[in-house]
Amino acid sequence: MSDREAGFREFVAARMEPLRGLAYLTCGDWQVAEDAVLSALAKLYVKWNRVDNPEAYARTAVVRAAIDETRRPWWRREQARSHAMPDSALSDDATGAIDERLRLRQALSGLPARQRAVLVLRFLEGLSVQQTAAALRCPEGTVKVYTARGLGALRQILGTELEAGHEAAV
Amino acid sequence: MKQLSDLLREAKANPPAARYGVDQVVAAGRRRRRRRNGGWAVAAAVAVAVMIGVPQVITRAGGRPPVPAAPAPVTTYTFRGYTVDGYVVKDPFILDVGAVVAGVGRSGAGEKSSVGSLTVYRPGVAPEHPLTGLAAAEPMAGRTAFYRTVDHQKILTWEYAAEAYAELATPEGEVSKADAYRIASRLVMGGGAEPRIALRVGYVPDGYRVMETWSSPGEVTRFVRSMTNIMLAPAASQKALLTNPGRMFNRNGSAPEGEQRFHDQLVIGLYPAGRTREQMPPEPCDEKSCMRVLDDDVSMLIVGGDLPIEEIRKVYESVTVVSDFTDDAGWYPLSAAVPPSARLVVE
Repeated sequence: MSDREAGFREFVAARMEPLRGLAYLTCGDWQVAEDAVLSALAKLYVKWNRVDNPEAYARTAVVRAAIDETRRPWWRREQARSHAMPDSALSDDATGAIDERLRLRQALSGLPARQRAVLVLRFLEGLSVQQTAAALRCPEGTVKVYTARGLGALRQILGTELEAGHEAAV
Repeated sequence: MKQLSDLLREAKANPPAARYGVDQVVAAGRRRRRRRNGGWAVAAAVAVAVMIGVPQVITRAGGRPPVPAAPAPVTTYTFRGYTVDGYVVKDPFILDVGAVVAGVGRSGAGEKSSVGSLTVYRPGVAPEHPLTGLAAAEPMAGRTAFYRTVDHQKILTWEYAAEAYAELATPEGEVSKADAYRIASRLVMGGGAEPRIALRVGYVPDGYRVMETWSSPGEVTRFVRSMTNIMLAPAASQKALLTNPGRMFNRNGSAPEGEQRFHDQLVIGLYPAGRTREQMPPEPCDEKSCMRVLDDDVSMLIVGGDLPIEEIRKVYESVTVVSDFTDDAGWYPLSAAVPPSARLVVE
């Protein structure tokens, strides 16, 4: 195995799970999230020696791939058809924690994909407005608008007990 | 007061077991590199094909055609993909008794590019997004058109022939209204290919017919998600399907009041496995479906529906899956994928 490949493998082993979570929050479907991560990391493999910041590259590629998947024409039908998929095993979490998780997942799913991506990049990944705009290839103003709209929508759905932390920068 | 960052962390907690590991990622990366390295050969072949095809292409593009041709047989898609300044409407991938659906992407942005979908309904079939009470927008080639926002999507619906509608759906902010009109105005009916399906079914319950096929061979090199689906139902259900386009899979009882559920469907499809062959129980069928992980350990055949399990098992046991998903030339033409009695018919 070459040093190049060994380095790539090490990166994937360390970052695959966080990237999967990032993609999931963006698209709302674990299987699609995983496909998006696979696709993004396959691209990174090809460019591994030429990418200065693999972390940022992978994060951007994963979020874009996850957004792309939600735009696909079969997305809505796939959601409706999800009953045909085998159920995943139930977790043994306390009921309250599951309820809260489902509430937030439902609230996120009500947002457009790019608004979701902005919130996830800013408040989960801790990116600045500028970094988020670069990751999504959109103007900084768009990031600010999406942040404000997304937070407003989440507050409306979840109640007002939501602290954004970065809100001063909005 | 809760931090949003904490809530987001909580929302992604407890993920299902991963289907891919480091080895699969590296293998996908190698495949991608091989494809890229082989791209020049493909480009050269395409260039030759384009040169050979020039007269036909010019003929097709030259006759801009708001007037549609006669309807194609139901074994084929009703139109084929086309390009229009900066956009590409891909070849269709869904054929059903009410409509044909294709993806829309940006030209030159690769197969994965997606900015929306085009759904062309058969004459007399109501579009998925109702037109009742809407004010008409600027006409499309002299015919009625509507343009509005529904669920964060811009929807352009227009009458492409008498009592026949098409819908272009794009995410908000993705495609301008002018571009949507340009894409829509280049739709040409006719010339669609026959869908190719990655499996063949030998047994179908009495009275069941294909209501929809779903085929996306181009996706197989990246994902296996639902690359093939066949949905069948009793012939008598066709009317219910046509009056509820887009709601054909709503079988969980949650349809809004006044909308019918679509009963008695049988779905045969290939899905991501989510588990290995070793993790599967020895008995492939439960009370509602039969399934098995295929030899690639990545995809799974699922047969399920609102039928007695004995019938579902007979269907399941009659299914043959193609040996190589990546070779879509080896996929079955729709007419050969189901018994003659089960072929898709529009009444």
